[in-house]
Amino acid sequence: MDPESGLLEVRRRGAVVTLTGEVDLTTSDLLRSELALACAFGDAAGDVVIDFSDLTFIGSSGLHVLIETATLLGPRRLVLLGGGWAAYVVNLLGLTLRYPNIVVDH
Amino acid sequence: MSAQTRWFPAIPGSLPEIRAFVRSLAGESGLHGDDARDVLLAVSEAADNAVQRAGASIVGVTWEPRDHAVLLTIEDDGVFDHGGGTSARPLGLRLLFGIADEVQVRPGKPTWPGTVVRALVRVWSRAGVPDLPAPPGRPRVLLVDGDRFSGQSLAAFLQAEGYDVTLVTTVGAAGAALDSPPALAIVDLLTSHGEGTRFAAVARTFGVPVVAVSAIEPATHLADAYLPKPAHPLRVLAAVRDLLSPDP
Repeated sequence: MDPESGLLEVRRRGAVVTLTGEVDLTTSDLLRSELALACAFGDAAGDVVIDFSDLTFIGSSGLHVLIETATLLGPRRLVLLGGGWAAYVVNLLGLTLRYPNIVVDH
Repeated sequence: MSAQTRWFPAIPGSLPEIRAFVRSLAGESGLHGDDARDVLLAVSEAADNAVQRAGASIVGVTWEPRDHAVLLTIEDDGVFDHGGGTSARPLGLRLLFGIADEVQVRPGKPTWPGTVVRALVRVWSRAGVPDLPAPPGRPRVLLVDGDRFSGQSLAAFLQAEGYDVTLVTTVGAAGAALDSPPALAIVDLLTSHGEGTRFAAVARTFGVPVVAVSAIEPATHLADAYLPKPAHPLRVLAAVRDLLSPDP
């Protein structure tokens, strides 16, 4: 399944979501809905993984989606792959301290 | 490059265009990866708020180059919404504060709309510094720094910029180097347990201009130029060029 908004392409395989493009106010809803599907995938257990390797922009609107998802996951982990933009802004705000189930994996 | 401004409709659909505008300016200014990212994030967070602001119809983005920084102004004709609306705002402001050195906000009021956000973002890419030709005849620079590692890296940088650098790590060795006075001395005042301060005074009696670098001691009266430590190599270079350039 490959939903697109022109700016952002989201590919999801089970609980692994791969992002290409930019997450902003206009595309964060697409990310939100795909992450909700990823969270509910299978028996709704285990990690949800987002691959940011091909992401070229994410700002606070996208970070809000990550926080909502991490909160929704409870004890399950939200693993952020690919560093770059996402790792930078997540670290800048210290989100992994406040939401220990957000894990930045380089 | 002089200041550049562009206006956009205050709708979320303008955000990609605003990013494209900022990216192209960052490219023209020669900003590298991290600098370009910081500038783009700062504008985007301010613009996010502007396009969601009550009563806003247009958003202006102004880019002004500064000394090793970019001053960004994001303005709209809307009313600043204190804490109300979406919870996205505090996170966006936190990002902006995390990136910018200085942030100034003029909140639009219902009686006097128009919100202006100004953010100064420091950049380390070379572009901000005009590329002057290397100084003629490789002037001799004496670098006095008790920290051998920071001294070596600054020495290598100044060598590459056309100076003949002698690095010493003690004030004793620096004193010996005054036997044939250099064109200029860069002195970390804390070298040899604070003896660098005394050496700076001695060097100036030899007619050697001194750039003082220090983490704790405001040293404007001790030297011809003062830089707080850690000093960016480009700032040191600017001070050296300034002192060694012939007076107009």
